[in-house]
Amino acid sequence: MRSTRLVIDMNAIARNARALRSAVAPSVKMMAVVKANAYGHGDTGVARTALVCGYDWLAVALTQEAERLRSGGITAPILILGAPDPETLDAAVSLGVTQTVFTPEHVRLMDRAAERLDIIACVHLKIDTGMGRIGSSARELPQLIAQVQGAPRVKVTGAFTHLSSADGDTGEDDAYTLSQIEAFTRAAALVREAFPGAMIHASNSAGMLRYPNAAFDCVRAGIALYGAPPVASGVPLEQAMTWVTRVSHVKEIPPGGCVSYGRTFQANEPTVVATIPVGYADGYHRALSNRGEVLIRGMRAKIIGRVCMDQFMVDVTGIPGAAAGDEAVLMGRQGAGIITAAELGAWAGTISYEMFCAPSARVPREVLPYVD
Amino acid sequence: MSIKHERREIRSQIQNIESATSKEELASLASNITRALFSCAEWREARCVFCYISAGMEVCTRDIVRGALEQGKILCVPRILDEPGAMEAALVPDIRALEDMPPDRYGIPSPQCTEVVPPRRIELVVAPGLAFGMDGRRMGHGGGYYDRYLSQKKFRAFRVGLCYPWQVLGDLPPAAPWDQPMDALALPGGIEYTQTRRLMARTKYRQEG
Repeated sequence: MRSTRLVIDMNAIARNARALRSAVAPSVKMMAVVKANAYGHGDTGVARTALVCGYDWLAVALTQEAERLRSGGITAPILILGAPDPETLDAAVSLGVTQTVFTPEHVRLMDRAAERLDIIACVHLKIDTGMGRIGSSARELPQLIAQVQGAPRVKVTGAFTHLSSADGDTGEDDAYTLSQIEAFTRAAALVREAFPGAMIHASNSAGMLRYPNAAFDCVRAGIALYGAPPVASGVPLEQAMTWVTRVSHVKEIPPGGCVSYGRTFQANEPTVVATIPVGYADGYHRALSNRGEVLIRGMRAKIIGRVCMDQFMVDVTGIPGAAAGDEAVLMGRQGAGIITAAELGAWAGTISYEMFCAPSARVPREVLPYVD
Repeated sequence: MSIKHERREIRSQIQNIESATSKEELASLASNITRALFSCAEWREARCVFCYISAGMEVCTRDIVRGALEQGKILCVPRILDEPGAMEAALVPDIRALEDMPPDRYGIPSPQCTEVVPPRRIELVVAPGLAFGMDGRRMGHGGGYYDRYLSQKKFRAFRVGLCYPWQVLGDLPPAAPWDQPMDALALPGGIEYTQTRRLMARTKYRQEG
């Protein structure tokens, strides 16, 4: 295997899963969000780990993601969070997956698909309370409910909304979130009345940590499961992903020496330069040029010059003994040092979520299996 | 010859074979039996499964119960009741619950105070046995737990017996009226459907948590 790899610690995922479980009332169900290949961590592995830790539901964005879980032998209930895709609807229905719907047209499509396949299609109603992405407005909801009531093969088993600002820092964010929760509570009452037993859910990771009163029947654990806390909380979470490689070359350059394309770095003094065999083709953002840091021998080394397609350089002048073959950590822990996904994201002008999804298919994954 | 006596004969015959088989060989057979079970459509589609916790000579179910949880199935295991021969299906909510089970009066780990899963929810039962016939006959250890449990009216689950090859006997004593047959046997070489095989319900996957 390539010396560059992502190491995924399923034990960390399991500890995070349990910590979140304990932070939520026991009567509330837990949904593990494993879309986008479980935020880059490997969907089937994360799903299995969450399920052995007592999680009840899985959530994905797309039908193809649900297909992967089903072909991995997973029978747990799966919610597709995205809008129905007419091209994959039959597949979703035949996989026994719960599809998100929010327009009368979606309900018609689902009913027809279920009729073709001679089964009942389960759906969750998505209600837009202020995210402004997908979902039925409160005004449209009665019509949506009526449409389902007239669709014999569609069964509503839940309803949900998405909080846009539960991780926000300001009083305005808080007020906005509370208004979303209030609007959703009213909508949920209508859904419950029409479909008794429907599972009501609103909270994402930030919501479950900050708004325990908005847990309803189920909460959706996403980013927190992977150990990137979206908000400060007392819940212990640890990053499960480590991006590791080995230094491929070390040399000293004299004052005036330049590094990488465009000579954006020029040495003022004798500088020891280590080459890292990872580049933007591996998903290591070019935006990290002259900004990012890596861990070598437990110490931080700054990126000098531009990140190339397959390589970049760091300054190891201050790291005694740094040599080719040394382990370099691009994200995650090395000894006492840690580069969090959020920190890496901040250097690149983005967020932890995008950093988890960044490593490309060229980077092999190594999974440390969960052993309880 | 009485049934008690015959059971004793069969037990000693099977015990002899098993004690002559190395631990490694038994473990490898058990892992093939597990694979056979996991490959069968009834297992893959079952949303709620009941599985025994293995003890003594029984085929080891450690990987089966763990697999059931990993696959997101609702898992329940036997919990014996005070009444002789009676048991119920106790929910195992997660893997930690599986490891924290105290031994019951037979020394078999069993969950203490978890929810009872009603028989009508169970879609597949994994049963142990002393010996099996290819016609689905199952000879238990003599406690009558499974015959009694499976005879409940609301029980429609698919029943799989786990067995080493030497537990399949051609000359089992004739079935008693209370004997509950298996729908399939999981053997190291694969699943063998017995004459009593029934079709599973149409709904495939669990849609509610």
